[in-house]
Order: sequence, then C-alpha cells, then structure tokens
Amino acid sequence: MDIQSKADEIGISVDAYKRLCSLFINNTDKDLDLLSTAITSNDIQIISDTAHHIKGAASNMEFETMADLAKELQLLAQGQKKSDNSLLDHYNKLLREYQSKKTEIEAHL
Amino acid sequence: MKKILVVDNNPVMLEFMNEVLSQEGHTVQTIDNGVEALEISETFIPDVIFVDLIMPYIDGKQLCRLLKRKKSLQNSRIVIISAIAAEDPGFNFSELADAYLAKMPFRVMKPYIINLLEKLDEDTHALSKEIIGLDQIYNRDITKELLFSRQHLEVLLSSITDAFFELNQNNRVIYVNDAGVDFFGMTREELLTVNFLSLFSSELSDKLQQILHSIDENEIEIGVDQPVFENNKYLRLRFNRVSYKNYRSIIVVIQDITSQKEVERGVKDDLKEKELLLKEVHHRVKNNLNVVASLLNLQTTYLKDEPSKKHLTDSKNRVESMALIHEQLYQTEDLSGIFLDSYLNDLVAKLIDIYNTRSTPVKTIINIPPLHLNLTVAVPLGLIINEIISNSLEHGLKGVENGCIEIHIEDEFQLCHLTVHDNGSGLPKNFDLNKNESLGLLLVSNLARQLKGTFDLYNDNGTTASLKFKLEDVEREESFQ
Repeated sequence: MDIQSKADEIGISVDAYKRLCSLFINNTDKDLDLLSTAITSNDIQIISDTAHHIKGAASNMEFETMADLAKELQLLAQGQKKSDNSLLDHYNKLLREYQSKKTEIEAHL
Repeated sequence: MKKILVVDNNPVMLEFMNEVLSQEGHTVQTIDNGVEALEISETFIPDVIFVDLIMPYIDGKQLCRLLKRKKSLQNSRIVIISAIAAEDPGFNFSELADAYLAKMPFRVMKPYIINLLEKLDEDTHALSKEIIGLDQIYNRDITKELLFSRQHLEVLLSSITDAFFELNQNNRVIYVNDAGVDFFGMTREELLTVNFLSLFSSELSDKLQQILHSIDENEIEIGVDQPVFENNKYLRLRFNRVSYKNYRSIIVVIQDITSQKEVERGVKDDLKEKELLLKEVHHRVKNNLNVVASLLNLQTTYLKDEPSKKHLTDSKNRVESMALIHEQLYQTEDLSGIFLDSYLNDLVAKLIDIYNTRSTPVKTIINIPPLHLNLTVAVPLGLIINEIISNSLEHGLKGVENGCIEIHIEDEFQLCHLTVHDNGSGLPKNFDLNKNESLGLLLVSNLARQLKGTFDLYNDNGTTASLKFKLEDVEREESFQ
C-alpha cells in the first residue's frame, strides 16, 4: 500500500489520508465488535445495518474485497441470499480481510 | 472563499470533506446530525450546506426542508450528498436542494466537489435537474432495501391514529408522525427540533420533565387511572426509552381518549339512571305487596271462623316476607341481591312480633355467614324460612316457656345447609312429610325443589328443619334462562 500515491490520487495530504485511515479503523473496530455481539444474539436488524455501514465506509476507501464481504453478510442477514455457511463464517471472513487491511494500513500510520 | 457546513453521520466522510474543502481555502464546519446542524446554523451562516440523506434523528430530507425555511439561510445553497442516488437516479430533489452529488470513492470525489462549488455560483437551475457523479458510484443495491424498509416504517407510523413523537436527549422533537402534526395543529417543520415540553401547559410540562429525566428501560404510562386533561382533551401518554447501537432517544405516544371518556361518562350516567329506576320499581313492588297484605288483613277482620282467618293470615305473612326482600333491595346500594343475615333478622323479628302471644318472648339465635343472594335464591329461601318459623311459633313452641329458635347456615364450596331448630314439643306422632297435606309444607317442598335442594323435617329435642342446596346450581339455572 502506497500511502503517498493514495493521498495524491484523492488530492489530499499524506497526513490527511492517515487521519482518514485512523478514523476508518476506529469506526470499523467498533462496528465489528457490534456485529459480533449481534450475531451471537441473532439480532438481524443490527447485523444488516452494521454490515451496510462497513460496506459504505470500505467503498469510500476503495477496499473493495472488504466492501463485497460486508455486502454479502448484509444480504445473508436480510435473507436475500442463501449460503451453506453461517453468518458467523461470513463474519469471520470479513474480520480476516479487515485485519489484514488494518495491518497493512497501520504499518504506514 | 465560502463558508461551508457538512452534515453527515459518517466521521470518515466528514473528515474527508473537511480536508478537501479546507485545502481549497473554505471555512468548514462539520456536524454528524440534523438537530445540531440546525442549532449551529443560528450563528454560522454557511454559503453552502452539504447534507447526507440517511442520518439518525432528523433525516436528510427533513433537514433540507427545515434549512430552506430559515430566513437567515435564504442565500445558502443546499447540496445533497448521498449514496441513495444509485437506487433512484430519477429522484426529484429540486424542492429539497440546489444540487445532488452522489457519494463515490474518495479517489475520484474531489474534482466533483470543486467543480460543483464553482457551478453553484453560476447556474443552480441546471444543477437541480440531475444527480452529479452517478457514473462513479459503487453498486449499492443493498441501500435500496434499507430505503424500502424506511419508507415502509414511515407509512406504518403515518397510519397510526395515536400521536407519535421521538425526542433526542435534550427533549427536542426529532420525529413526529401525521397524527402528531394534527394533534398540535402545527406544521411538521414547526414541530421538528422544538422542545417537546414547551408544547404543554407549565403544570403538565413539569410532570413530563420529571418523567423524561427519570425514564429507564421500563415503559412509563400516565393517564390510565387518572386521565391527563390538557387543552380540553383527555390524554394518555406512554414513554419508552430507545437504545440502539450508540443511538439513544425517547418515544412518546399520545392517545386522545376524550371520546372514550365521554362514552364512559355516558354509560355511567345511564347506569345510574337505570339503578334509580330499578330502585323505584322495587319500592313500588314492595308497596304493592304491602297493599295486598293489608287487603288480606282487612279481609280477615270480616271473617268469623278461625280456620279461614288463619289461612288469610298465613297468606298475608307470605306476601310480607316477599315485600321485605324488595324493601331491602331498594334500601341498599347493590341492586343485584340482598344480604341474608340482615334479611333474616328483619323477617324473624316481624314473625315473632306477629305471633307474640306469650309473656316471655321467644329467643332467637341466628348464626349465618355473610351470604349475598340474588332474587332467584332470596325469594324462595325467604318463603321457606317464613313457613318453618311460622310453624315453630304457631305449633312447635305453643305453650312452651323460654322458647328458642336457632337458625344456622353452613356454606362450604357453594353447598348451603340451612337448619332451623326449635326447642318445642316436636312433630306429631306418625308424622310423614311426604304424606302431609298442609299448604305450608307443600310450599316448602316445592320451593326446595325450585332451589334444586332437598328438605327434611325431624324430631331432635324439638323440631329441626333441614334444607340443603347448591348456590351455583340455582345461579347457573338463572343465567341459562
């Protein structure tokens, strides 16, 4: 991940891009905690809303794999898509993708 | 350079907009909800306001309408910035805002924003016709579901006849349904962000403030036992705290129960009137029965032979025992029946008074539980007791000094056992209840059958009359009829 070129592409300073990344991590950490609790208690509305929120933020940052996984989780929670895997399996997949992205981002912060 | 206000609940988006716009030399304020945006616009008059559509508390559409109404913001340009554009490219936003910029990846968004700000100075009419940046947005088909769900809830809440309000932590109205708008006779825009407590009289406002301050996860309801009276309306108010993710608010539902209260009052008045009428009917029945008793008494004075006199006196006593029940009915508050103990005391005293021909009055012991009987039971039971006591006073205790009559009732599981015992001379030899032809005992047998009971008469250091019947059998029969 080239922080400098990312910031250049957006048209902001590197520091500003780092602040966006920090905010993204901070919010996504909270959202994933909320998702985990909601999956344990099977609260479909919170799963769906939170996955939607993660997808929007990831889309803005162009973390498209993460956005796709969040989208899939939301579709599953809303019953619009069938899968042999459970919501928890999908959540774990999203979490792994996020953690790898987070490690990549944090290496540059 | 411009003064710009950005309203969006996504902190990453706020930071991005702040950075991009500040870089261009603009003065930027960022706010994550509509209520605070309205508050800040009192002091910070922006040239341009960016508004997200999906936000907590007041949503973007309502916020646009409220901002447009503010005189101080007449020259401010409003720009919707939202991802909803993906689902509804034909969305007509011209009444809400001057322009609509679709949310897109940050990488490509900056030129769109700068370009848009320039165009806002030139031709807002052209900008209000189409959504900018539609070609750049990520496919967001899920948002459509959220929007549908939101519209669905909006339709549901609008169809509720109770006034429904949502308040933020500072008691400001952040949502009101159609019934709520009608309830206060104000426009939605006038109600939104107003302090909820200011909508009520100071007395009710103080009470509501305490409730809103103390409400926890339990629902609070006022106006159930003691209706709240405000502006000539009877109200019932329910309060619930909402806690969802980090979202906190309070739901207030106001139900106008004025018409219900009026119906209730009408029913109470009707009932009172009917009770008065019923009392009057019992009073007249009692008076008429007493007239019949007086006529029989009068007729007795014209008779010469003792047996005929006795028959008329017996009949007169029977009529009077029935009149006594109606007298008790109109003298008490409860018209559904009489209390047996009070009735028996009066009945026995009356009979002893009639048959009192001895120097020492007959002693009576009445031992009965507090039984409340309806007319179906009270009338036959009264007549039965009338016959038994009359028999005791007239025959059993004849010539007996220190005569005593004991009346007991045992009531167990609705099975009543009445015994009337006298310490008199007892039944004649070879007495057979089934073969006895006296009118009095014939009446007792028939009335006992009417009570679905069994009657017996036997010697027991005097005479004991026994009647067993089930109260519920008689009551069930009555309700069936």
